[in-house]
Amino acid sequence: MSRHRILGTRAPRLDAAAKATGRAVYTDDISLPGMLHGAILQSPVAHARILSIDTTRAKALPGVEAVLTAADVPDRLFGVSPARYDENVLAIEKVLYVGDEVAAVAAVNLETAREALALIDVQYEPLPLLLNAREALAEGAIQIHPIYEGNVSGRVQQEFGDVDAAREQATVICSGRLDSEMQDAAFLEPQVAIAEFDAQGNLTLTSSTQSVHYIQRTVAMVLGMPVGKVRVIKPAVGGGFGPKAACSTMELLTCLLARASKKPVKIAFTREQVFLHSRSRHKFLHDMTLGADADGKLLFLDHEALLDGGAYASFGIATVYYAGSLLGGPYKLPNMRYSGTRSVTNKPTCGAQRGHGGVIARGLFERLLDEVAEKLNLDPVQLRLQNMMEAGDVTCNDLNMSSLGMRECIEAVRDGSGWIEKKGQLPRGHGIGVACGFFVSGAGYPIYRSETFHSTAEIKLQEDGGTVLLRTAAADIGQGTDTALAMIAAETLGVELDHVRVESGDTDLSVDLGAYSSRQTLMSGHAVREAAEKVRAQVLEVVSERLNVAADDLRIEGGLVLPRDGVNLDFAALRTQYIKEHRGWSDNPGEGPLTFREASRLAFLVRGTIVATGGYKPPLLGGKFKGAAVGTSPAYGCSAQAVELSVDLETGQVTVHRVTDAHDCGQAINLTSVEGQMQGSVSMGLGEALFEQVRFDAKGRCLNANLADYKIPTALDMPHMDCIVVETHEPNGPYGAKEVGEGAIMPTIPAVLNALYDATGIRFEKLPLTAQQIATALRTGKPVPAESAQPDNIGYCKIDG
Amino acid sequence: MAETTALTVIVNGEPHRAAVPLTLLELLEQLGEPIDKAVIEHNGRYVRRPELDGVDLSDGDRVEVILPAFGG
Repeated sequence: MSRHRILGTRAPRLDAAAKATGRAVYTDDISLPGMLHGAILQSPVAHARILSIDTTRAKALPGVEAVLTAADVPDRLFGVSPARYDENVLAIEKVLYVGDEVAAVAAVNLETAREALALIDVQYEPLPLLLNAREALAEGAIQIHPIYEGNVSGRVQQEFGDVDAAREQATVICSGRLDSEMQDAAFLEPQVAIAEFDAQGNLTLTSSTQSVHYIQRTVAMVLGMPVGKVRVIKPAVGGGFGPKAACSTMELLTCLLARASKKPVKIAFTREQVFLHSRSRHKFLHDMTLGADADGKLLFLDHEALLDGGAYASFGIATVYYAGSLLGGPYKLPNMRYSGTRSVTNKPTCGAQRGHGGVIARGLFERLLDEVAEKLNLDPVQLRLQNMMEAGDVTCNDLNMSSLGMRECIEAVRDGSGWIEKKGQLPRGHGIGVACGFFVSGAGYPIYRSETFHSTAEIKLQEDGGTVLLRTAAADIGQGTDTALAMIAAETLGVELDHVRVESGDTDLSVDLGAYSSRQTLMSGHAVREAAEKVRAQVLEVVSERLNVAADDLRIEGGLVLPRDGVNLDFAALRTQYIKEHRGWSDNPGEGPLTFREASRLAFLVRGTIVATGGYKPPLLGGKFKGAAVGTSPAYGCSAQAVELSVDLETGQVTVHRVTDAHDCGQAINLTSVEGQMQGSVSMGLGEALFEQVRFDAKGRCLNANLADYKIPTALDMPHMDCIVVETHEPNGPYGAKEVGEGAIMPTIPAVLNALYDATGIRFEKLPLTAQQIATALRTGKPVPAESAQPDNIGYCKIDG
Repeated sequence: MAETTALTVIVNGEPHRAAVPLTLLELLEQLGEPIDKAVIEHNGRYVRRPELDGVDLSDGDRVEVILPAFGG
């Protein structure tokens, strides 16, 4: 039986009614008096020198109030990591991809703004295009971005242990490749922002962002304003999945147009602009070699990856590191070598997307695990179990699995899917596959170097004690953070959930780094718990003083102040005082124990406003081994999945019939939301495995920049899903909680790959697994070959440090 | 006795004056940078920890200390 009253239950989402009835307010629902509409002129060519820009006719158009080119905006590079600030607000000398921003207009309405864009005359001198990572890295290729010599925006070479020595000991060595295509996060709400300056020069930016904190800092930096003069507010957001975590050119232009026009300005992306801005999943090319001894004990992984990054860095410097480091677990892998390169190309910029950097790599690694098992005549589940890490183990690259229910997850999936009866027993064309994965519960460091708290929160009691106000800058982007944090507050205070009201997503409320790296349940949750503990202590101190008992003899539970077992208390005097305060009110308490509301009111009468703050910084992480500790986190969530599917042996069409999914999220906060994240992850993973692919023509123009041609799974495409929530206790999490947001996507692609092998006898090498590719492979009896991750001019460099 | 002059190194985008001769490791230790936790780049190239002491800094060099654990 749970020792919690609120946590681990199925609480209705706080925003459910508003969203179900259409009353939830998204940024595009907001209109301010006198607000202008902005539009952005984007490059129609993928690589060109800008010869001239003439805005004369646009400025003369009636209704146009501001026109900006690079000459009118701050000459300040920005980006995600300070080590990779590489973007100008508007293109200065060159455009680097179809969609690069060249000019912006604010006008009285959107039609006028778009008409003005058509009147801006830009002369381009075309330059050679590089649309492929291998071509971009080839000797003699034209340099796309002035910062990135050789078109390399990130290169990683790491070795943990001694791979060459381990290779000598290996009995089984399996090598393979897997490549993927650029994908889109396909959130339902396109990015939109509204900027307004008040009479004192304070800027308020309302935006569909994942992180008000980082947007605030970037806007302040580029506009040359004090951080405290910039407020960023996040209304309801329709999904993010990573691409909304960084400050965009569009958000900056909204602010700059508002400053130039001295009026509020709104800019809303079209769906095509969402695709062009992108910052979604990279195209990955992976080469791996995995070795094991005769008993199936894993000995080494040798891994090379090439990422097609697009025009700018965005989160890519982290992506290229994560692509290697996130293979350190959840198996005992003593030796690991990784060489990763991220290239610049004339395409939209790729960035962080759910399962940042690790999803495609995990796909190949888990496929190779199945190959090792087959060579050793071992069951794939058994191979995984005998190599599984346990809680307290540390990976070869220094990731501490402070809790790990991985074994429980794969056993649950094995038993829940009917694995033993089905594996190898299904008719040709039908298959079952398993895979595992893990992911961080928050990054160990902020993006910029700082000693900042990663999360702070404030809890204040209303003067009548009837409502707990929770204030946080954490970002609910549809995943249910507001409800989870309210549940943590309610659990800590001992009150019912409906006592808690949440204000969130506003830089005026607290500091919170936002919704990325699956961090908010753990980090924001810690801050909320600390604030709630302080508030509870203040209330109990006042009651204990009035009753002349020790505060430790009191507890709050179910909204009631109760004595510890064996302690007798007489609350009559306190109740009398409370009722006197409220004479004539209709909701005075009846008989029974003192309520939290009464106690809170009395606390206010004695101490004034009852308010407290909480904060969280991760503990010191990593540093035990040589080399950079990448992927360090206070905790790691993990999951296993079994996918059962069938293949039409003539057309190659795949139908996924069933997914059995087990995830270790530590202590579940809201069971319904945990399952929602698991289902959403599987939906996204199946789309990426089977059909999602952003396509370009030979001139770098996106061919399917809409949700009609870019296919994502709908509810009708979803198979039957069994969600098994595995609960462990994470010592570094609030109440033992950790992530479920991103780790849950990790096993999906490899489980599909392994199930396809079970169904067809073919190890597929390319994603997505389109019917056309599968039909070709079935016809030829071999997979369509993947591209190599190793460009001809990149020599392998062994790292011995 | 070696001649002592000063150089300017761009550390995380900000100019930093220091006396020469100076190695990359000495600079990072002077600044208290988290060498064990971070990725170090010198003029855009990743430098392995054992090599930090072998990199002599010159005027105008760029040094980046990157904490690459973020995103998603």
